[in-house]
Amino acid sequence: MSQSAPDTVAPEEPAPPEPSRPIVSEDWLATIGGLVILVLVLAGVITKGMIP
Amino acid sequence: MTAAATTSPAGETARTAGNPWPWRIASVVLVLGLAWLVRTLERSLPGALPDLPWLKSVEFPVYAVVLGLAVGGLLGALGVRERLRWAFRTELFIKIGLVLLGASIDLGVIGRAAGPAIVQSILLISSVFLATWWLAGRLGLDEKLRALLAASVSICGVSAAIAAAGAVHAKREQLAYVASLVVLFAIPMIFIQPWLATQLGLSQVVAGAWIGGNIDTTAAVTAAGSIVGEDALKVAAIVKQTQNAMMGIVAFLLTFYFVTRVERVPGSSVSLGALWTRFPKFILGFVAASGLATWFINTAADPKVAADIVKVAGNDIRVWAFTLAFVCIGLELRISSLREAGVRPVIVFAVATVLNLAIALLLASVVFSGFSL
Repeated sequence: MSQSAPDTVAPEEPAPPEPSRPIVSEDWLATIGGLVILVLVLAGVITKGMIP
Repeated sequence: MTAAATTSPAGETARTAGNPWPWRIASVVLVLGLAWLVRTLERSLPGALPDLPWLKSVEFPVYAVVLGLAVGGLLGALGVRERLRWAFRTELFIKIGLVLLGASIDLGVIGRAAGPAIVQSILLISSVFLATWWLAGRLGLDEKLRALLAASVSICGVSAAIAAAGAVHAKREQLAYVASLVVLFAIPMIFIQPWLATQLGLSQVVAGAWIGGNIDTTAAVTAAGSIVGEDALKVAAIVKQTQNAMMGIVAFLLTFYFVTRVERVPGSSVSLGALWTRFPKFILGFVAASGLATWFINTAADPKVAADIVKVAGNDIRVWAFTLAFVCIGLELRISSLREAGVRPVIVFAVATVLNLAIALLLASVVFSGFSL
C-alpha cells in the first residue's frame, strides 16, 4: 500500500556520508586504451625517452 | 542542469553550476603532479638515505597512498576536495595498468622454460589462495577483502590485489590496505628468505623458485634473487612471470564466484548475459596484450631489442598507470575506513605468508630438483 506524499516538505538535511564506493567498471575504455598504448609503443610512436 | 549543492562528509559544499573547466584542469594537474612526485621519491629517496637499504623495496603504492592521503586531507580541510574530484579516475587507471601488465608476460619464456614453474604455480596458488580465503572467513572478514588478501599472498602481490579488486568490485580502502600489507611484508623477506635458503643448503635453482613463488613484489624478488646468485635470480624471475600469468585465470574465477554465489539474489538464476556484463573486460585486454607482446618479441629480428621496447609499455607506462591509481586512492581515502578494517587482515596476511613460505619450499624442492637453466 503506497503512502500519499506529505503536505509539507521536510527541511533539507545534509546528504548522508558517502559510503566507500566499490571500484566500478570502465572496462572497455581502459581495455581499448591500454591496447592502443601498447600498439603505439610497439609501433615506435611512444618511446622510452618520452616517459618521465 | 540547475545549480545544486551537495554536502560531503567533510562539510564542504560542491557547486555543480558554472564553468567546471578550471577545476578540471587543476584536478588533472594535481593528480599528474602527485604521481610525478611519487615516482621522484621512489627513485631518489633510497640514494639520499643510504643508511636505510630497505627503502629500495618500498614501492610506489606506499608513497602514493601516503602522499595522496596527506594532500587529500589538506584539500578537504580547505573545502576544495570535491571540486577537484574530476581527475580522480582510480578504476580507469587501474584497468589500463592491468592491460599493460599483460604485455610484461612473454608466453614464449613460460612455454620454453617453465613446465616446473607452471606446475608449482598452479599448486601453490590453489592451496595458498584457498587456505587464506578460509582463514580470513574464520576471522569474519568480508568476501571482497578475503579475495584481495588471498590473491595478493598466493599470486604476486599488489598487481594481483588490483586484478582481484577489479574482479570483485572491492572498495578503495580495501585495496589500499592490502597493497600496504604486501609492501610491509615483502621488505623483511628480502633478507630473511636468502638467509634461510643458505641455512637450508638449497641449490640456486630451488632457492630462486622458492623466492619467486613467495615474495610478493617485483623489486623484492629481484633483490632477494640477486643476493642468492645469478641463477637464482633467473629462476625467480621465470616463476614470478608464470604466477603473474595466472592472474587472469584467478580474476575470471573470482568474478564467476562472486556473480553466481556472493552477489546472487537467493532464488534467482544467473544468466550468461549477467555473467558477461559482470566479466572484467580488462582480462581480455590482459590476454590480448600478452599475445601481442609475445608475438612481437618472438618474431623480431632482435628479440632483446624487441623485449626492451615491450618493457616501455609493460613496465614503464604500466607503473605510471598504477601510480596514478594509487594517488587517486590516497586522495579519496578516509582514515576512519582503514580503522574499521582493524588488525584482522594483518593477522591473516601474516599467517598466510608463513603458509606460503612452507608450501612454496616443499613444491620448489620437489618440482625444481632436477631443473637446469
